[in-house]
Amino acid sequence: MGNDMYQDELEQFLQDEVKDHRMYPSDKIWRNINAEVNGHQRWPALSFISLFIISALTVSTLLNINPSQKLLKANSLRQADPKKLPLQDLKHSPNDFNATAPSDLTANTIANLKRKGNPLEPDFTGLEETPVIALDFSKRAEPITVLKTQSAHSNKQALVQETAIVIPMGSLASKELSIEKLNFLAEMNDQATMSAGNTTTESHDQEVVLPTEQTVEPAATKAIKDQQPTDQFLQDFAYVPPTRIEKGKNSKFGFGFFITPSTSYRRLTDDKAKDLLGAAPASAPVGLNYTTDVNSIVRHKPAVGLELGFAVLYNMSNRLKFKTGIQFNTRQYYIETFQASTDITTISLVNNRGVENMSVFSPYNNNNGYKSTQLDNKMYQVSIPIGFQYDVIQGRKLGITAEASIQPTFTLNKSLYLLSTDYKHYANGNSLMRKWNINSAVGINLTYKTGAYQWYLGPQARFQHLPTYSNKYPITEYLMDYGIRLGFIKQLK
Amino acid sequence: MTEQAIIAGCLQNDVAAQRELYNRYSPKMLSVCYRFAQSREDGEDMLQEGFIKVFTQMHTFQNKGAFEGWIRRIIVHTCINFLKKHKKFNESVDLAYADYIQVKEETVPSIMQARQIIECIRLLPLGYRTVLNLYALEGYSHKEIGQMLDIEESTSRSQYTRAKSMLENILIRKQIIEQPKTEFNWLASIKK
Repeated sequence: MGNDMYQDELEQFLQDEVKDHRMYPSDKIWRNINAEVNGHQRWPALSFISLFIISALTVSTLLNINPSQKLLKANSLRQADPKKLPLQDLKHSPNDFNATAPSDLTANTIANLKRKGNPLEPDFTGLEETPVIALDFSKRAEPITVLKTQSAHSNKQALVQETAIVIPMGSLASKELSIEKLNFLAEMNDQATMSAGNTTTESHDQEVVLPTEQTVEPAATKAIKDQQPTDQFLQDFAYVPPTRIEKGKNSKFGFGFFITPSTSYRRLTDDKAKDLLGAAPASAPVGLNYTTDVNSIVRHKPAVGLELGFAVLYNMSNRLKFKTGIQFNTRQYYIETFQASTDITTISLVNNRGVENMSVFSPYNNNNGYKSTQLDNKMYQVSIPIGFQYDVIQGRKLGITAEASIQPTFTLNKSLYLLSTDYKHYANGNSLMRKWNINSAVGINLTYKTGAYQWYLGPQARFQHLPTYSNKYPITEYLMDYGIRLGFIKQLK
Repeated sequence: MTEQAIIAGCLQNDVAAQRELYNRYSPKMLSVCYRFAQSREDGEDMLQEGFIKVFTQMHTFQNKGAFEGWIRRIIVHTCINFLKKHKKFNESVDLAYADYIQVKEETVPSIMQARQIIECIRLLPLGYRTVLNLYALEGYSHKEIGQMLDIEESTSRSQYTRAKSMLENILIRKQIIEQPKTEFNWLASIKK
């Protein structure tokens, strides 16, 4: 670097003019450098939201296990024993009673009927017990033994006792059995019990041809066909044949209300100010602070805001809903500053003609004063959210929905203080406030159904996309709200 | 915070010290990068790469010269490497080309003279601009420039001569300087 001897006038001129020129990089550059050198910062909110979603998914999954999955689990256990047949979903199969009640009359029950013994104290000695479905034995429950054809290869039948299939005495199915059949079944049951008393495994190998399905099925079929759960047993278990369910057709519209306590944060960028004003110290009152990021100069604290809204929903599909409505917002944050003697300060505005300076009075000084004070930047807004809600998980009671909306927003009233161009004062900024703005919101909710209402609760984030102040003001401010939304939706009939 | 405190803090990976260093030197260094770069975005990329090197190579600073000069050298080398990496050099532009460069009024903001001059420098072809930046503004010799750019020393000299002539024409047409009446009255001709 030794060309000093060759400097001519042009080089000297360039050096004098250019060498101390400054340009101000955007804060993004520092964030990138910091992330590269020191690693990425963790964002606590992300962890919180992830934890919430995982918890919600876990809870909703646990509380919404399909009963058929329970049967699958039971069947998988039964597969360990090849002599057992897979169980059927008694509760959800449309042929519940065709498949189980008629053919699963047990010899034990019939013997009890014949002997008029106590049906609540069956003799299970020596018989294998396999729970099928959890029914309440305190309600007229009677254990029965199921007779089923076991093997297609051998002409044998096995006697397998199933404990939870119940047919109450005097039920329609039991009445259909003739005395001859009852006697026959009782004899078979006695034989089977004796065999089981000797060797349990042998009892499984015994096979008896029992045309039970042909004999009992008509009665059960009749009961289904009648579609009338006149039997107390059926009423006890609230059995309603699926074909008879006549649901009223819901309207596609719904409505709801919500409330969202939130906290407001803000992010300032002063690239424009630094580019246009920092390069022209003569035309703008640029302070020493200009070398630092504006966010490190201001001291603001988030304050509690509120969103209150009415929503109208239209079901576009089973899961997707169009959502609109009206929403009132209060968003605010505090600025910590000092009360000082009233001073004249300058706010530089940038427009097509260049830089214009506006002198204003300010009793607040950012650096010193006779007492510290707190300014409350508060806005009242009304907005029209337009967006969609998607049911990510639909359980019977619990579920998870995600929603996103864009919100044209009008500011009704405001009380705002903005930073002067030298970063030293705060002045009234109402005249530079942007009346219309655009916000967007995203959220994820845990939902819970109670009757016609669906309640929901979940985190929500709302972002302001245009700066709070007009484009003339070179320091741009963007607001962000984070809150928890609680609300309900009612589907119209 | 003193310069020594900043250096000591940076050596201990103190984020506050790193931020202070960045705040203090990044405006000047971005101006350097911008003179080399094709766009502001490229300039910011150069600055980012340069400061990452500054922070990671801080232990190599030996307090022998000015700290700002050390940072500046790292930034300049980063700019050159960036241009090489992205193959943005366009060498051997004929001097006559200078007459056809359209100096667009809108590309030169009328904010201040320094910025105008920088914008004029940026109108030069990249090869010319790089040599001019390195020689006239960063103080490197033609020998050093030749090593940095992998060109002959004589090539650096000829490119610089052409770059200077081209820039002079642009500055005159932009009315930043007046047409010199004699060969040696350069400074007197600068418009105030």
